[in-house]
Amino acid sequence: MNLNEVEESDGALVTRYLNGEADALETLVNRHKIRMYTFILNMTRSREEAEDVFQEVWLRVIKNIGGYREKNLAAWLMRIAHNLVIDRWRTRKETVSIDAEGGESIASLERSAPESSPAENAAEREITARVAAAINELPAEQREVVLLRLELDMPFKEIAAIQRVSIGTALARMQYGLSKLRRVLRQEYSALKEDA
Amino acid sequence: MNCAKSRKMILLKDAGELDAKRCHELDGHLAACSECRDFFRDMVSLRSIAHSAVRSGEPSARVVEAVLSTAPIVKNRPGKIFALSFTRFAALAAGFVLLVGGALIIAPWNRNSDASSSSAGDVSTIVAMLSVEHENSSTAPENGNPAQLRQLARQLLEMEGINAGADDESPEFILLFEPQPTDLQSRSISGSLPGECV
Repeated sequence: MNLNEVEESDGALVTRYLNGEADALETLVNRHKIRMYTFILNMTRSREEAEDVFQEVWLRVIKNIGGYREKNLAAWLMRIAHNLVIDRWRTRKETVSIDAEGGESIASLERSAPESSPAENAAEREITARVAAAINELPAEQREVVLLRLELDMPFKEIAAIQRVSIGTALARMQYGLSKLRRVLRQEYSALKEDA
Repeated sequence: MNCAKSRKMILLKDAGELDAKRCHELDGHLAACSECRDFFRDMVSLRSIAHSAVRSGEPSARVVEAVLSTAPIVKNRPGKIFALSFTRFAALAAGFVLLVGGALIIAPWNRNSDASSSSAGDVSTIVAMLSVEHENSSTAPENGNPAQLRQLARQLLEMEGINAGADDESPEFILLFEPQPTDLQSRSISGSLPGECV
C-alpha cells in the first residue's frame, strides 16, 4: 500500500469506484480485510466460514455501495458482517465447539516477547491460551463487544450501533465479559504466584 | 459515584468517549476506591493479552480475488445507468408530446389570426406597391383616388384567393385599405422623407 492509498479516505475511494475505477475497490478491500476478517474469524471460529462471510460482506457492499451515505465505512462493514454472522447462527444453531486452534496467537505472542525467558514465555503462553479460551466461551453478544472494543478498538457508540442496542447495554455486555476474563486472569496470576 | 457507575465510566474513558467533567469525577472515585483501580488495571492487562489471544489473520488470496472479480459486473451498474437514461428519455418524450399536442391545439387559432394578418400584410404591400407604381406610371390612377386604389387592391387580393370582404366600405376595410396620401408617401419605396410632398 503506497502513501497515496493511505491518504485517500474511504469516502473518496467509494466515489472513485462508483466512477468506474476498479482499483479503488481493491484498495478498500486490502485496507479493511485484516480487521474485518479477524472479527469474522473470531465470531464464526471457523476459517472456512469466515472466508464465506468475508466474501458475502463484500458482495453486499458492492451491491449497495451506490446508496452508501455513512461516514464510517469500517463500522458499516462490521455491521454487515455482524448481521451475516447472526443470520448464520439463526439458520444453524451454534454447535461449533470451542476451537482449540491457538497456533497463530501463540506464534504472535512468541514474536512479541522475544527477550523473555523460556519459563516466562511458557507462563505467558498459558495465560494467553486461557484468556483466548475464555473469550471463546463468552456468549456471542459479549464476545462481540469484547472483540470490537479490545481488538478492533471501536468506540461504544459504534458497537451499540452494530448490535442495535443502547450504549448502556453495550457497556453492560462489556462489563460481564470483562468480569469473566478477569476471573481467568486472576486465577492464572494466583497460580503463577504459587508456583513462584 | 458508585462502583458500578465508575466501571462504566472507566470503559468509556478507555474508549475516549467520556467528557471532561465525568473524567474528573472518575479520577476522584479511583483515588478513593482500590477495587475500581484493580478493575482498571485488569482491563489494561486484558487489552494487551487480548491482542495475542484473539485469533488474527487475513482471508486467502483466492477469496479476495473472488471479491474483486465480481466487482466489474456490478461497478458498471448497467441497470442504474439504463434507469437514468430511461428517466431522461421519458421526460424528453413527455415534453415532446406536450409540445406537439399544444401546437396541434393552438394551430387552428393561429391559422385564423394568420389569415387576417396576412390579409393586412398583403394589403399593406399592395398599397405600397400601388403607390410606387403610381409614382412611376402615367397610367396609374391619380394620386388621392382611393376608390380606384381600393378596387385594384381588391382585385389583386381576389387573384391571390383572399377574400377582402364584400363590404369594402366597412370600417375595417377602410382602416386597412384606405390609402392616406401621407401614408402612401411614408410607405413609398422611393424613400422620400416624411413631410416632403411630391
